[in-house]
Amino acid sequence: MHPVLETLNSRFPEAVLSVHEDQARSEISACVAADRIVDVARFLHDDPTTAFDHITDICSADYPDDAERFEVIYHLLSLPHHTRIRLKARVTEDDASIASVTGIWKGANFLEREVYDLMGIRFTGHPDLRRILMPEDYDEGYPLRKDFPTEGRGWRSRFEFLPNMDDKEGGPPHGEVPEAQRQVFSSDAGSVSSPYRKEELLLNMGPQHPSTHGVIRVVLALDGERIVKATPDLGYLHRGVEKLAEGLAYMQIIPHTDRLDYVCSMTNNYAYVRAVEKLLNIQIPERAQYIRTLVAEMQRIIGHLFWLGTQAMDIGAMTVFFWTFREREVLLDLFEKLCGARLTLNYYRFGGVDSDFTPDLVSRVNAFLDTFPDRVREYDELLKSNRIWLARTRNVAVISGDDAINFGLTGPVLRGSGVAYDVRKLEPYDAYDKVEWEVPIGKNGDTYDRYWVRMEEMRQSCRIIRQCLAQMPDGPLVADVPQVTPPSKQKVMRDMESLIHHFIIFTQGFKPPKGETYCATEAPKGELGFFLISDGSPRPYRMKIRSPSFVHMGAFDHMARGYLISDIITIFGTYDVVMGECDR
Amino acid sequence: MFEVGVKIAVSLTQISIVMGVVLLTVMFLTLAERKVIGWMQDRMGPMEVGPYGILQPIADGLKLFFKEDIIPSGANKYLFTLAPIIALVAALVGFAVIPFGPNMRVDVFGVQVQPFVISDINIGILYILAFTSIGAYGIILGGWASNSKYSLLGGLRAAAQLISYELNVGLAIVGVLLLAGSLSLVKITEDQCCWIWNWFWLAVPRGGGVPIPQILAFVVFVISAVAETNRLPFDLPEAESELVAGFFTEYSGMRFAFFFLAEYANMILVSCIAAALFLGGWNAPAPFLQFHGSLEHLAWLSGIMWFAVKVYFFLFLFFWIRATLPRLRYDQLMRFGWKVMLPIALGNIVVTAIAAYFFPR
Repeated sequence: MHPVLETLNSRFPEAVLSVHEDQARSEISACVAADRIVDVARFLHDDPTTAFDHITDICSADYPDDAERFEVIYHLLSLPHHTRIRLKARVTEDDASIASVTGIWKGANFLEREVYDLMGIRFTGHPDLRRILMPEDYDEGYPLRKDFPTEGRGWRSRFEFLPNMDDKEGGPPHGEVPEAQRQVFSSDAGSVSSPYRKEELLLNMGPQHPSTHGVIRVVLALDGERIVKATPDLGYLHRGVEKLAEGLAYMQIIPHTDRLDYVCSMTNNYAYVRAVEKLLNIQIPERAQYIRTLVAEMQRIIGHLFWLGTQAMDIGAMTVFFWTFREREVLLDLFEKLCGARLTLNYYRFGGVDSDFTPDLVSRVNAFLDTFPDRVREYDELLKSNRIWLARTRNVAVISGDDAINFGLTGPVLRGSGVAYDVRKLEPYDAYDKVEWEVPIGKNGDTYDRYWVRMEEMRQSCRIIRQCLAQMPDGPLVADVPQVTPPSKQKVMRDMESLIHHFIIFTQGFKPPKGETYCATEAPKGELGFFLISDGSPRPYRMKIRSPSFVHMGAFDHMARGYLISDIITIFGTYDVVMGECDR
Repeated sequence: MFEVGVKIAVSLTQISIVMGVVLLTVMFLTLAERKVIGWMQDRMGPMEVGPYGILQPIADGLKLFFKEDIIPSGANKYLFTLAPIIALVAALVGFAVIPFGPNMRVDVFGVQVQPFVISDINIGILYILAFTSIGAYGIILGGWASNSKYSLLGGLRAAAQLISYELNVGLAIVGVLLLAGSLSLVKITEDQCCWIWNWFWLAVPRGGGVPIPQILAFVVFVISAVAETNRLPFDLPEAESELVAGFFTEYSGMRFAFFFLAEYANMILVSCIAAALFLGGWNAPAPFLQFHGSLEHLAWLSGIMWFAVKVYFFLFLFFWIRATLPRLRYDQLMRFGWKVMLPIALGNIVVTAIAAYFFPR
C-alpha cells in the first residue's frame, strides 16, 4: 500500500473510512468522515512526511440514491514529494455542510464557494460563503445536482429588462430614467452630517471595461488611487460546461473544451483527451505523441504571445500587441492548414490526433522557428530595456513562493515566484521526457519575473518543437482501440462493417469502465485538470474542470491590496486570465 | 475710426486663416497619427474612406456630429457643457501670439500690420501659459461634472499632472527668456537668427561669443509638453486601460469632439512654442537655405515652411513616442515631475542666469 495511505490509516483509524489505491492510473484516494476532514487535511498539510502543501481542486459529486448524497472531493498535491491524493467526504442532503479548509489552504476559498454555488454544500467557517459563478440572487437551486434540469427552471424569463412580447405596454419606461431612480445618482442624495467625510470610493471595474480580458467585474475599494480591497465578481461567462457534459457522450465534449480557454483551444482538447485516455487506459502511438507535444507547444507560444500583447497593451505599449499578433497569425495559419480551424480547433482525438502533420507543415514550422527567436528578441528590446516597463512591472503584484503554493497557483504565476512546478517535468506525458528543455524559474515573484518566465518559456517551446520535428517517427496517428476509435474514413467509405462500426461509435459512444480519475496537463496559463467520474455509461457521470484562471482569481485580492489602480490591470495581465475558462 | 476698422478687419482675416489652418491640421493630424503609428506597427492604418483613407477625418467628423448627445443623469448640466468649450477655447486662443513667419510689416490702407502673427504682445509666452492653465479647468470640470467615478479620477489625475508639469514648462522657458530678454515670441524668434547654432537650444550669440546652450531646458520642455498634452506615456487622465477614457468617459458626439480637438490643438500649440523658443521658429538652419537673391521677396514663404517643418517634426515625435513607450504609473509620473524634471529646470535657470550675467549678449 502507498505509504501516505498507511500513515493515514495508522494516524486516523476512526476518521479514515476507507482507502483506495488505483495501480493502473497510479492514483491514491481516501474516504474521510466529514466531521474529521479538517483534522486529516491539516495533518496532510503540516506533516513533513506527507506535506500536501498545494490544493489542486475541490469539487463535489451528487449521488441521489445514496444515503449520504453528496461527496466533496479534495485534490491535493505534495510539491516536495510529488504525490497526489484525493480525499473524499460524504455529507447527507439534510445536513449538507462540512467544515471549511480555508484555514489550511487559502486557495480553498474560491473552490469551496464554487462547490457551494453549484452543489449547495455549505462550508462552516468559510469567511465569505457566497455564490460565485451564478448570480448572487439566483434562487432556483444548485445547478450541478442531478435533479436540476440542464435548461434551468425559467429564472431567466423573469428578468425585467428583457422585452416581454405578450405585454404590449409593459417593459421599462422608454427613454429617460424615472425621477425616483435618478435621485440615487445625484450628488445631494442623502444628507451629509459632517463636512469631513472619510469613506472609501467604491469603483466598479467591469463587467464592461477595456482591460478586464472578457467579462469580469472587480469591485475596488479605493483610498485615493490606492486599493484597499479588491473583490472579483466572476460568472458573467458561466455556461455550465460541467453540467452540459453530463448529458453528452465523451467524444461530443471535445468541441466544448475548445470554448473554455478560447485563446488556447489545443491545450484544452489535450487536457480533456488525456483525462479520458487515462480513464480508458489507452496507449498512444509514437508519432501521435510527438505531434501532440509539438502542437501543444505551438499553442503555448500562441497563448504567451497573446498574453504578452495584451499585457503590454494594458500597460500602454500598444506596438507590442500588433507585433505579437503578427507572429500569432503565422501560427494560426499553420493550425488552419493542420485542422481547418484557427480558434476552436477540435484537433485531438482519443488515442491520437485528427490529421497528420504533413511535410509541408514541417517546413513551414521550421521556417517560423528560424525567425521567431529574433522576434522574441525584438519584443524584449521594446520592453526589457525600457525603464518605464521595468518601473511598471518590477515589485508590482509580488507574491511569495509559499503564498503562491498556499493559494494553489500554478503555471508561470507559480514559477515566477521561484517554485519549479511544471506538470510537463513532474509527470511527463507524451514526448516531453524524450526532448531536452528547461523550466524557467523567477526569483521575486513580481510581474517582471512572470514576464521573464513566459518569455523564456516561448524560447523553450521553440526548442521542444525543433526536437519534436527532428525526432518524429512515422507511424499511425490514432491508437488501434476499436471500442473507442472510429475506423479510418477510407474504410468507412469502402466496407459495410467499418461503416457500422463508425455509426456505433458516433451514435452510442463508448463505455469506459467504472471509476474516476484526475489528469493534469500543463496549459499556458497553469495546470489544467480534468476530473472524471464514470459510472460505466457512455456519458461522464461528473466532469470537473480545474481551470487555472479560476484558481488564480482567488489570489487576486491578496495580490492587489496596497497597489494603485494602474496596477490592477497589470495584475489582470500577469495572471493571463481568460474568462471563458475561469467561468466555464 | 477708419484705422480701427482696418485693424479689426485684418485681425479677423488673420484669425480665420489661422483657425482654418489649425483645425485643418488637427483633422489631418488624426489621420497622420493613425497612419504613422500603423506603419510603425506593421499595419496600414485607415484604408477604407477615400484613396489610402485620406477622407477618414471627414468621416470621423461627420460621425461625431451626428451622434446622440448624451448628458448622464446626475451630471451637472452647465459645467458638463461648459467644460469642453473651455478646453477647446483655451487651446485655440494660444495661437494668437504664435509668429508663423518672419517679422515684417505690411502697409494695408495706411495701417502697419504684421501679417504672420495675429497679435505681437510683449507678454506673449506668459499669455500662452495662462491660457493653457485655464484649459486644465476644462478637463477637471469635465471630469467632475460627469458624475462618474472614472471621470472624477481622470479629472483629479489631470489636475495634479497639469500643475506639476505646467511648472516645469514655465521654468524650462525661463532660461530662454533670460537670453532673449523678452517675453514676446516674435522678439525671441528674431534673436535666434541666422544659423542653426544661433538657435536657443545651442544659443551661440550672433556675433560669436560664449554659448549658453538651453538643450537641457529644451528636453525638459518637450517632455513636460508631452505630459501637459496628456499624451503617452503621460496620458494618465485618459488612460484607457485603467479609467476607460478618463475625464471624457461620459462624453459623446460633439462634446467629445471638442475635447479631442482641444487635445490635438494643444499638441500643435506646444509644438509651435517649442519650435519658436528653442529651434529658431521661422529661421532657416542656415541663411542660404531660405529664398535669397532674386527670390528675396519670397523669403517669408521659406520662413513659414521652416516653421512648419519644425512643428511637424515635433508632431511626429509625439506619434513616435506613443508607438514606443508604455504608460507611467501615477506615482511614478509625479515623482518624475517633481524629483527629476523640476531640479533640472531650476538648475538650468541658475546656470543660465549666472552665465548670462558674466557673458552678456
